[in-house]
Amino acid sequence: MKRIFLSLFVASFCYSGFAQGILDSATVNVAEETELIRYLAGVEKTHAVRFFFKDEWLEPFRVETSANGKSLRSMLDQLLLGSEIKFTLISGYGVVFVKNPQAMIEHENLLTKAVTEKRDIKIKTIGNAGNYSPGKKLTLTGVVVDESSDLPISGAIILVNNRQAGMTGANGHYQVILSGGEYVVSFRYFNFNEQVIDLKIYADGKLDIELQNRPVVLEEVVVSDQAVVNRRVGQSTLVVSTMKRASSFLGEVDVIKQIQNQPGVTTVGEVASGFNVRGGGTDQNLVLYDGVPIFNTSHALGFFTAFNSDALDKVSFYRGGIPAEYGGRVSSVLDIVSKEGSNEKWQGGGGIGIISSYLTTGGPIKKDTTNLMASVRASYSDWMLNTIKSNYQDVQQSSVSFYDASLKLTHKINRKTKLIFSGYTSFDRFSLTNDTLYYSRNMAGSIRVDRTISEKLFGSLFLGFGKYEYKIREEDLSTAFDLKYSITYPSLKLDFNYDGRHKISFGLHNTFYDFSPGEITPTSTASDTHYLKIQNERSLESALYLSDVFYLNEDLKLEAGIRASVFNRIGPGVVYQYDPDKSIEIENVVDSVSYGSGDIMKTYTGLEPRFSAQYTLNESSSIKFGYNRMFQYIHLVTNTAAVAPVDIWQSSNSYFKPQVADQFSLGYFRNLKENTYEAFADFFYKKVQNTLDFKDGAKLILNKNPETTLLSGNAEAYGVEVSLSKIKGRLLGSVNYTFSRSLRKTNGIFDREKINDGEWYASNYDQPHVVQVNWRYGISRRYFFSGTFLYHTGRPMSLPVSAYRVDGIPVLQFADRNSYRIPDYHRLDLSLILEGSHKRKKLWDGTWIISFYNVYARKNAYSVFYRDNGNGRLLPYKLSVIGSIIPSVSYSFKF
Amino acid sequence: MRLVYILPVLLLLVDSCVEKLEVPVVYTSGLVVDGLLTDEPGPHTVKLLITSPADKDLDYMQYEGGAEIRIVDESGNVEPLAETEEGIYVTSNEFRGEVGKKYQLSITTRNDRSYQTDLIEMLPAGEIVNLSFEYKPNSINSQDLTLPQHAVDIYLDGSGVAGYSNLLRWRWHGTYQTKTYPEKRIKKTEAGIVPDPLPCSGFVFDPAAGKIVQKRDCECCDCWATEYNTLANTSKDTNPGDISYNRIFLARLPIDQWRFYTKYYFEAEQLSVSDEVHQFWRLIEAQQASAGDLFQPNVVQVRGNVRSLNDPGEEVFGVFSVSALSRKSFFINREEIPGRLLKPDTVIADCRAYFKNSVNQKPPFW
Repeated sequence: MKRIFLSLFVASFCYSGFAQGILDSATVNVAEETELIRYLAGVEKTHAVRFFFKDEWLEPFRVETSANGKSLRSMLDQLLLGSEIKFTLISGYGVVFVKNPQAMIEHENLLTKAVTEKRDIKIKTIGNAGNYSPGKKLTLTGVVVDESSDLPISGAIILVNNRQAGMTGANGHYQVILSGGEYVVSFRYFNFNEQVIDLKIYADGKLDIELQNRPVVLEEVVVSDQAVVNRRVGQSTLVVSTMKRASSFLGEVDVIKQIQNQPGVTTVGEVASGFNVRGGGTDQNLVLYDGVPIFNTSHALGFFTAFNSDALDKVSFYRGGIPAEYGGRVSSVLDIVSKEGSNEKWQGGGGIGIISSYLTTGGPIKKDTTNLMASVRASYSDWMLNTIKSNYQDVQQSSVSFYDASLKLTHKINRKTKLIFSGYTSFDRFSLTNDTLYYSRNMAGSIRVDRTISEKLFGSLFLGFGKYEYKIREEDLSTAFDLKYSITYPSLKLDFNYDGRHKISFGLHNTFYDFSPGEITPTSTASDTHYLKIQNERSLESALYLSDVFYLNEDLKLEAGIRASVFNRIGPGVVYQYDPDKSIEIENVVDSVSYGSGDIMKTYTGLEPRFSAQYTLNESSSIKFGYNRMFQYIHLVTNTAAVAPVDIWQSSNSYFKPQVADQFSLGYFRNLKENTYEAFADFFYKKVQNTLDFKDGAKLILNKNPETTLLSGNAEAYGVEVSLSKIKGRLLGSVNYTFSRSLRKTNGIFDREKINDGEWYASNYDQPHVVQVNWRYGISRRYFFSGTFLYHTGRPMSLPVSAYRVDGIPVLQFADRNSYRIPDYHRLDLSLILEGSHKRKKLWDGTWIISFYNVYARKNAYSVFYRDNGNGRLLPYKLSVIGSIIPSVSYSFKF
Repeated sequence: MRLVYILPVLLLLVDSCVEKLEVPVVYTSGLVVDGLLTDEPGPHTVKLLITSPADKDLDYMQYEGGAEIRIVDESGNVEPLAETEEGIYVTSNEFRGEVGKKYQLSITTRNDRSYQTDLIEMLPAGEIVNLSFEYKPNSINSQDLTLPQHAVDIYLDGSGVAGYSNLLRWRWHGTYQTKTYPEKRIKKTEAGIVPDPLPCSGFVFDPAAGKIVQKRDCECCDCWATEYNTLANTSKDTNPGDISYNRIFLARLPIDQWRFYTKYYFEAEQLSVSDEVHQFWRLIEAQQASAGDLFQPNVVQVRGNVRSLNDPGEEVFGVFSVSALSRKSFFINREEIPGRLLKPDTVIADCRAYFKNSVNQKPPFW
């Protein structure tokens, strides 16, 4: 067949000189709309021309009267435009119609590939070729659901002939625009079997898809080739079951630790749960749990994440090109969505580790209408502490305990309306030596009504409540006190999604903040502590956003959005005015203004454009660009580099302007070896205005005038992230390298308002070189060997370089801030995962994880601190929280 | 409340460890000025030193001798300082500062480098209204029961002077009596163990009598030891306009066998300081508070108030403080300390050498 085509083409070139005549001289003249085949037969009778074609190729085409007067060539050109049919004239009298063989070959190849990969292939025909008007654009719509629970799957990818054509929205709904013809359509989602449809479509139609949970998971890491066009620049999606097969600390599956393994993400300490994204602070990450921001993402000072990964459905992480629906933090967004209970049957799971245990269960309360998902995790480390003998006198009375719990209730009010209640809480308690106890709690609750307004429009009303609080209790009678701190933040959101050729999202978000910045109460009569309460700071952050995602053409996907945010600091409160000729110190107060309850004390507005573009160069590579501007109105005020238990959040006010970040990212993405490998390089540049840094010697806790202790400056970060992943086969893994710098500049008017003389200096989390290697090898279908290697440049610190005495008191002279670095950090972790049987219908599925953390027992510095040498002089010491290899065994199960 | 307490918990959870951090640092030496002019009679002292590398012992500092130092007031009156020991320069006995006047320190080193402060006004110091103490049982050394467990806390109530910035610094010193038994020294000889009293005890061994006999008064049996504050203590932000300072914590004195053996003399000083000097001490205070904090501690770059005239970029350390001074003192008697005190050990030594900063002259206030 190929040879015939080839010879025909050769002939056409040879004779093209004679051939122009007939096609151009013959004019179309039809009395009524006529089938092309019939029309051509008529032309053969009146003209010296012969047409060669396969009937089924031309069957759908009709010649309309509007073509009258046009030449035969121009009529055919117009009619066949966009179809795969071409024509050519040979020997001066023969017009040969050929169907583009490439499309057919591709179609065959795709089907063959799907067959070899044992994909589930279904044949589906919509409409009838005979009734199709060529050139007409057809709409294929439908809903993708999870076969086992009947729950809609959002984020499922629809590939048409191996190119991404769409994605399901929040209600599982999708829409794809096609010309009539034959296609191979695939539906993909993490951990679900791909569904392949051999589709013939000639009319608008509906195609609902049920995806099966993938029972055997050797190849489930990441959705593969569509990453060329799917992932926006700087986005990652984590898969919970993949996380379970990664090495973890003490066998505890940890979302935040996995985020720390993403390119461009670093952490300052051995076990700090906060994370730094592209040179940003830990407070610049928006962590949402079912839409409610979470302030403290860790348990036990950062040893463990505060989320039970078994209760999580989807974790999306954005570090660049952040969509307009997110706002309020300038570095990244970690959007955690919890699992819904199954609509079909009750299921559950749990795990037993050496620190904590967890249990998750979910199922229908009323089938197809109401379902429930609940999880609880609690530590039993008190027991562990108490069994350890220590020479340290107070340790026997110390304890560390934590728990977290979540509940999600979903109720279908009717076919179009769904009610979702989600609740989450986490709690930590340390009992410290010297009678000091520390408690911390997160609470997040939300009620959401999702409504399908029309087939394409989807709306949701969200009412959220969040609270973060901690308490420090000193029980020593002579100083006994309770120190309380809390942030309460109810929110109201209204979001709409329109699912058409343009995917449009818009909405209104409101969050009210009530900061209680500190209240200290003596708790014994002998206590020398005085009662002090810092006045609450209230504020309202509101935002309107609009964003549009669409394909400008097949290869160019654009996303443009805008977010307009307004921040109001609301009274009561007092604003002190300082002598403008002097630095901001309490002794330089010249006046003060008091505001009553509800008065607007200060207003800031921000216009935040967002833009991202993905240009598909070819099937295996794409270029992505992202720009976003973001405003952050609340700031974490800390003089520690790692997350410490005593965090103070400061809202913007008359003194502290909002942080404004502009970030540009540019990425190149490429698949290699038939999607066995993925590689990308992302460049970024970020500039943040109005970052806060502390003055030397700042007292941050219980400070009535925080403006006297904080300095406003600018930050800058830039870098490149390079990643190579193997995403198919027995060995899966990735190697990431990031080069980045994170710098700060604080240059106030007065000397004491400058840091390092107002020059640029490395931020606390400036770690220029980061290497992350992760792998997982499937020893068999059920046994996996996984590991992680991590290297990063030691973070900056400040060291004393000289010392002297004044009036008998020793003084250390520090070098410029952050001009030295702690030793480089590196660590290797290994795990062996033994999974139970992979049969789909089984009652119990257990997994053992044997892990070794810090395999070669490196003593990485967690923090550097100073100790008095007994002579009044401070010497630097490093604390390695983990100084040896930590083996552990944990067991998890599903039923 | 300080985070250092979390250490044992962390230590327990995993096998953690603390090691000295070995990072090579680049040491650059600099001139240190340690000077104080008060409104009390002279002599007033200005010391010139050179900074030490951070890992060297501060008890052996290098002094900078051969400099010319002058204190000049706003009217141009010059008070030259005389070098009494290497690097230690003093004013005449008659010279004293006056509240409301401004003074400037000028230094020219033997290498012809010149340093200067601004004209610094001597501000009023206000007064110490009251000193008080509280017994604090089981408040110290809970990690080590061999050390004293109880302490006495000293508090100060003070006031500033209305209409002034009232930036203050407090310091204190305390004196207690000690007793040693230098005459009880013994030595081993071929004949066995024999008494060997220290000469300063006034006793000699009389081999004939086989015992010691007193020839003179003991010079080193009864001493008065003085201790000084080692922590910086400055006035903190109060409400604007508030000039009273209540319950300022000054000292925590461990109740050991010596301090309250008879009685304890405590003297507090309240010094007015300029803005720059106040900031200097405030930063030292912050530096001291951060010691032991496991989480990245405060980095505190302490700046002084002396500037180089030859090279504005040269870092000069320390301060010249122009301070009015007010004092208050009191005794804490042994009977005021609840509970039984340990009987002092029988120390066989020269008390002047055994106790730091001690003298054998009974102080006039005792």
